[in-house]
Amino acid sequence: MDNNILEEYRLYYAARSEKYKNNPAYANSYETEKRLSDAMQACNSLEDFKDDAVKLGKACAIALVKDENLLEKKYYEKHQETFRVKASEQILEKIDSCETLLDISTIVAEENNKTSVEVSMDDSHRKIIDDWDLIDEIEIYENAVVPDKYKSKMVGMAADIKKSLIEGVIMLEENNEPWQSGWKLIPEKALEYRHLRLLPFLKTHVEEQIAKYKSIINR
Amino acid sequence: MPIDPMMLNAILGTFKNMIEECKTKNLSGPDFDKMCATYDRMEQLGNEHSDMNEYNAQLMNENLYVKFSDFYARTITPASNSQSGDGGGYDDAALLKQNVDALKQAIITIRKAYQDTIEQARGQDAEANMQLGLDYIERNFDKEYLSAGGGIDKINTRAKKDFDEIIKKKPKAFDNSVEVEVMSNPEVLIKSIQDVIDLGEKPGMTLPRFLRLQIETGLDKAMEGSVSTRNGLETEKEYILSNPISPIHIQIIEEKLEKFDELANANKFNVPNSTELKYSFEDIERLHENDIQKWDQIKTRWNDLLNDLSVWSLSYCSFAPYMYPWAIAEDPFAATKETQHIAPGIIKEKEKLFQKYFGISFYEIYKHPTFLWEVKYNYIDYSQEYVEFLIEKIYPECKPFNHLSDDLIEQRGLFCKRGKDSKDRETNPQRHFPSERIKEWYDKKFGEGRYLSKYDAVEKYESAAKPWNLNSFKYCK
Repeated sequence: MDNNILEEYRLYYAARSEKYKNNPAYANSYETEKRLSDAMQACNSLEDFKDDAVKLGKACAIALVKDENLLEKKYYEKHQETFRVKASEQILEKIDSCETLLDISTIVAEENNKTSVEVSMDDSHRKIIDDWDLIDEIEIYENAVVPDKYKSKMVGMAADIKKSLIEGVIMLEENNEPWQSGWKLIPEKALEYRHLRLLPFLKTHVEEQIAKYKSIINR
Repeated sequence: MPIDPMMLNAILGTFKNMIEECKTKNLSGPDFDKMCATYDRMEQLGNEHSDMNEYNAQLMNENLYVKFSDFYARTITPASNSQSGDGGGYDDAALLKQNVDALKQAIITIRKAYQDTIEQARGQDAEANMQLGLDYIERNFDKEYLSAGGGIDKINTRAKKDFDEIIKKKPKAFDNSVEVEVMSNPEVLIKSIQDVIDLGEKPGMTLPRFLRLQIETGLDKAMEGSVSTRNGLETEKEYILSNPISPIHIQIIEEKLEKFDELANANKFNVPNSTELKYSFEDIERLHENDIQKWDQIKTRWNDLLNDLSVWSLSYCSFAPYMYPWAIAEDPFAATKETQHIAPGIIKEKEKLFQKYFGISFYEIYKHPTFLWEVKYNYIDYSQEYVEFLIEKIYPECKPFNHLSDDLIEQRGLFCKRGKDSKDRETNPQRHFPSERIKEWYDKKFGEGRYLSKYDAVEKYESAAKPWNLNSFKYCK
């Protein structure tokens, strides 16, 4: 074995660990890359390095997934995304049990898949955002001051909107049933920060609208 | 009835191709068998379900997508390992060549994919695709519903006639090849890969030095496409600036560019970390999301109020029963009467909600940034003199049980183009400016004349009103 090649590999593995040095977001990667580099520096031949390359190479892959998921976890926690955070939480819990690199990618894909279903079920509780203007319309038609002759027409228009809101909720629940058995709309969920942040209204207005919505759709 | 083959093939086609790829490479074994069994299950469910939503839900809940990908990866991995050659001693030159060859192959693949996409975008199969869509409608839509449209034969004939007319008028209507060529040009990315290849082919290069220098010069990150990301942001900014929906949209794209440069500058190799970039961009979007929603709500609500005032006042004009929406009512005359009686009550309730949610009164609308923005960029439909007329003459009369005087009805009617001697003064005469700006951006991006080769010319509004001038609009002061 050419000693120059061995020296070149020492420099290469040192560069790999240097890449993560002083970056707190990649502390796990730095630590494992450093171990890998140290093992390389201590070797007298590439043959000696073979076992460490496999073992520590896998550790480096796991460390990188950990760092990336710690970043994701921190990010979603900061934004109070209680469902979106689940994938990274689960990956972090299971990642150390991975035997092979393929196991790592399988766990990552599986957890992201599971979480995406939970997230879309949770996002469905935002239905009031889509229905907000219709709830307002009901109020408008019911409260508008009009000649007696047109009052029943206005009540009828409000009733039609109420019917469409009820049908919309039934359809949503039917569509979600195959994804999560027994899923039911809980309008109050819209008050949780991850949904509330999307509504450009005061919290008191949202609470008021939810109360009206619940009385219309019987939930 | 199983899922329609058009939809099922769209979902399963990729997986089927992956199985074919393994067969072509003579791959087999327990993982390949499991991969095929997973595919069979996906196909079986496609034949059992008739509802796409239920089908998709079962695929996800049985984790079939992930399982298939996992077995596929396990099937092909030993193959790629064996190709890398594990027998014999260490051969640096061979390993370096293998790495460089893989990059050369990547360039060939990227260029081929680009050319294939351009070919596809030429729209030569547009008519065939339309036919596939019509066949889908015939197979899946309710017969009664189709009869209401004159029956499938009539729908087919009409669709083909419309298609032929479009092609006759605009032969490039379905040809997006120039757009794909400009927007998806991979040369910047290829340049980064070529730089790595050049490095690998330097005399005396070894594999470990090649790998190390990629890290030390940031070439490995450049290959991930950071240059393309920044170019994409620049293109997005150009488009936003051509027709900014709101100042918030401009702020977002500027903040993203600033963040990109900040992360790039903080990096030793001037290449931002893609994960940090992703979360930074999401932070920026989340920070402004509520402001965008608020902006949209306010704009929509005052537009709605102005529109209601316009419609209410129009309903009094003698020609109103012949106009939309009243003309389509069972009794157009009674419909105009109904608007006259109910609109003021509705408008007052909408005003109350607007005030409640955003604290904006009718007269404060015109000082609000959303209004000034819509005027500045000519997104507002109405002319200045017409808005002034609505504020000064119509709004004060808009009260429940109140009606417009004959004099006001006459004044209102004069804003409309009725007959050859009158002119429209209702419409903003520069309402076509946003479309002009899009045309200008389009031609600048995709080549002079490209817009007109695909789309109709931007029509100027025939309005006798003067352009908006906020200096003379006292309600914004």
